[in-house]
Amino acid sequence: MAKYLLKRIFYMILTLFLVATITFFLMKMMPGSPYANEAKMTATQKAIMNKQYGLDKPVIEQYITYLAGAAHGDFGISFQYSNQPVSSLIGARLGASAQLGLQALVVGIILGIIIGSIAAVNQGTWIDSTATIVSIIGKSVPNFVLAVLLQYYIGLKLGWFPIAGWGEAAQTIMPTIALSVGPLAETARFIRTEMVDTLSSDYVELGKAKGLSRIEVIRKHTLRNSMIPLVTLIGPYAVALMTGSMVIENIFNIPGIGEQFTKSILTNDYPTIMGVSMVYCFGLVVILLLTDIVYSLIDPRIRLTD
Amino acid sequence: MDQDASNVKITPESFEHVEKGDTQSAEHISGPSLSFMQNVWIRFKSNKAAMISAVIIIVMVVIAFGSSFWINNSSLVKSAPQYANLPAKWKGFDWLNGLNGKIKQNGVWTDAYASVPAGKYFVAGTDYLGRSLAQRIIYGTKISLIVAVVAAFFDLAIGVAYGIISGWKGGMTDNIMQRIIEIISSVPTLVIVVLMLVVLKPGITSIILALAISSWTTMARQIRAETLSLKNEEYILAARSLGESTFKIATKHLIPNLSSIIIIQTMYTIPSAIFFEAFLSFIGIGISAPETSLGVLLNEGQKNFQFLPYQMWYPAAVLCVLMIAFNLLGDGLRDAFDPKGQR
Amino acid sequence: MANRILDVKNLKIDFHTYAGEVKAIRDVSFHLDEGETLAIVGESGSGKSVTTRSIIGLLAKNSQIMGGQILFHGKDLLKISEKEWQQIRGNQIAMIFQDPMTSLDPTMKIGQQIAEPLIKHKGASKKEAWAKALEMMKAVGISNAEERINQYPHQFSGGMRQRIVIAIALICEPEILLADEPTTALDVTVQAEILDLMKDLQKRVKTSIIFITHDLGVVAGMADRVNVMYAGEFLEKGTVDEIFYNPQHPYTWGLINSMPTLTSEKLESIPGTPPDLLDPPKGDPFAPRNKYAMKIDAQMKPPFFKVSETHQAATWLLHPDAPKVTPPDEIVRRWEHYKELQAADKD
Repeated sequence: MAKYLLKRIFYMILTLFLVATITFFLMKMMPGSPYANEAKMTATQKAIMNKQYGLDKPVIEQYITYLAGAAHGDFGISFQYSNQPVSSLIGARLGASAQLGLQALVVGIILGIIIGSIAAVNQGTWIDSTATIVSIIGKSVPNFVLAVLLQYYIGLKLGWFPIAGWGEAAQTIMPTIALSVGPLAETARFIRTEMVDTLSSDYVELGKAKGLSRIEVIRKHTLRNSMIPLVTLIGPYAVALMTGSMVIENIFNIPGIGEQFTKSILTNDYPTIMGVSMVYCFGLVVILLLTDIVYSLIDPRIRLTD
Repeated sequence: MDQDASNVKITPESFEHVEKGDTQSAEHISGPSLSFMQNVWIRFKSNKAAMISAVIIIVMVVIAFGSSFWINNSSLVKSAPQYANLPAKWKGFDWLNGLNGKIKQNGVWTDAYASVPAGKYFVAGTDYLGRSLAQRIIYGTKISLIVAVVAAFFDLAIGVAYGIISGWKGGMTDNIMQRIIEIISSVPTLVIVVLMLVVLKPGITSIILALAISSWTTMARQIRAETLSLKNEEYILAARSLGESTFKIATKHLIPNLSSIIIIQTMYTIPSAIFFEAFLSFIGIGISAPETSLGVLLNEGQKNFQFLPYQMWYPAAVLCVLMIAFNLLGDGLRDAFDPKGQR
Repeated sequence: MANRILDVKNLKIDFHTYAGEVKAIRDVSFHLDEGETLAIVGESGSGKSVTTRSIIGLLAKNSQIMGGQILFHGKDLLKISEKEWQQIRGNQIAMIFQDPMTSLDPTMKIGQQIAEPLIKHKGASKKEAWAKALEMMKAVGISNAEERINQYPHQFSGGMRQRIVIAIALICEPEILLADEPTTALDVTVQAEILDLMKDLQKRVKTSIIFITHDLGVVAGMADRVNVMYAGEFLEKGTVDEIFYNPQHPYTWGLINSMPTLTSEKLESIPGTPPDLLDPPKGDPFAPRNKYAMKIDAQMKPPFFKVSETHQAATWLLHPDAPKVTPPDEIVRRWEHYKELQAADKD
């Protein structure tokens, strides 16, 4: 176990190092200058700016400085918001994104489990078909389309929830719904398949032969065995939520990392793009490691070795 | 004693020995034997949702590509301000709000076509530059389909080649190739795509490239797993011991047996590529005007959604139908290839 | 007469399939006395598993009982509610399944799985139930039970898992134990151990066993009586000695002939396949594969002819008008041995 974890952490660091290196040199290759108002600057001003951002030094030196900084979570200074370090720019926005992502994940998974298990228990009936249709639609309708529709019809027309902004609990409801539909649909499909399998397993049959009622068999032997493998989907969900947050945060005007990422890309703010990329990668590798550990804890068959 | 109440008379002849009835007749196989692909086709045909989806996709592809002769980007960039922002108007549908050229302004349905010459109809209305939305949607669908299909094709080519090499070579090569996949797949797709788009110039080619590069790992993993198990199948061992070249074995034996995985996985890659293109264009870092795609149309439609909702509704509906159809088709193919429905 | 606990009368079960109605069980009658072991022998698809599953009320969804009675202490199990079934299952009637590798819940501790029926049926507290589970684990021969009670199924071998399944089945000391090919999935050496264990526990717990198998060899040391099943019907019923040494039905001859013996050089087999139960034959179902078939076999179903008080066989060969036939050599040898045995008994 300890050996496995060490190995995993080594690969995590290797991954992050490679991403940092690749992003750094990609950004260095970029033509043009990073400054927003470059056209108006004189050569001297540029030289001063370059010095301020450390751009006058040899590339290798810049690279080492960058790596050393990145290891501490310091990604340099944003080109667009002068004098503001990328790390504080991201740090200020981490909370909103994390809260939104977590809310969407929890809502999506819980509702998905409920819909999926109801479908499996009623396999082959109209309830099952309805659940299947719901999850296909949920999987197919892009979350940003749903977000725009929610914002207009529920927010503006019906006025049930604030149409945008961040701060109050009510403002989180519509973005959470829009983001949770993807994980919800995926979970419902997954749980349904797993449960249909489990329900026809020999140990469920033995449970019935023990004299357990249908409800008892489902509660004691089916649900847990169907839900455990769901842990492996948390990683892919995290990726989907990162993607989703870029557009959902924009639509609902939420000060999160996703919204910052979009803005930085549109304004060629390379240090911020690099910083956010690193944060996303770091988030994912940590989540993947955590889900592996959790999986081994809740499923006695899984042991963390090669 | 349970005597059979039948009216057969027992006579001495009844006990005459008969030659053992021909056992062959008891062993006849009912129904003609079907090949694997025939079975797949029969199962697929019986799945109504998948069949309808296949028809919808075919119709959309035919319309999108068949219209190339009439609708091209150079004609689509021409603006016609006199027709700007007209809602849909269909001949003979004057009674139906939404298709009669009227639009709701301050709660009243007013005729938007009042200043337009009579006899001019736009079946899906026009955009802010007076261009036919129907034409733009058809053209945009074509671009979205091209992006998705080409990306899926590259993804397939990279994934299949990588998976076969990794699974077939085994040992150290496999080990290293798997570590590489592990590292790549622990980087969010989004980051790879965004970095590619920042470095390359946003546009159709860079989106295709970015999507292909970021999504081949799933295919490669599945192909590798299947190659590993196929490698030890007897007919492949036989081909190997007969000295057949690896390339020949791969094309003659492996690829046909991997075809179901390739088809199913590709069918799932296409809708996710469609989604990604729409997503990137929607936030403005993918395809952008003057080029058109479903994502571009959604992006433009969203700006005016409050006043001219049809400009977003129509492309959104086309996008959703396309996504649903591809997902249902993928499910149908998966069930047809693997009746147990494992995923 | 011994105390009769189970009496199955004229049971008929159909299965609805896409191809039509499969008549899986066609008029089956048998009984089970207290403390005895009844073996039901037949090839796969003969309906032996369906018969046992009907006794514990766990038939597949697409099955339908077309007639008959299953009397358990005089109460017809075909007429009771699902609630009543739940009180009988695992308590008075328990079952062991074929594959121990998949019969246990992979994510639940062994102790809890064994204790579950006791908590459900006897209202035992968790502590009492675990204590009894520990006792049962020792009884089925699991060493180091104190530690292993907290382990999970994947930490046990196939033989050990089947012992656990037996412990689950016997923890409530059921009156009837249904064993559906309990040793088929196991290694030959482990098979013998499991059979010994079952015999041993049967004496201690005083349960009756219905033992399903396709392997006549397993039956010899295990059963008191044997019923031979074919195409959803019984063809021959008798005590274990009668079936092994005085078999009357050509199908039983075929089964015995296909068992390996010390002297046999090659294994005999019964050519052909069982009839299609979508459209069952009207006469003797075994006739198409029977070397000794007669005209009447195809026309009319043979009744059970009585051979002795405990032995009957459904074959027209036993009709007084039927010609005498010479069975295979192995059977002739056995018949001679049987005569010697009976002569010895008389002395």
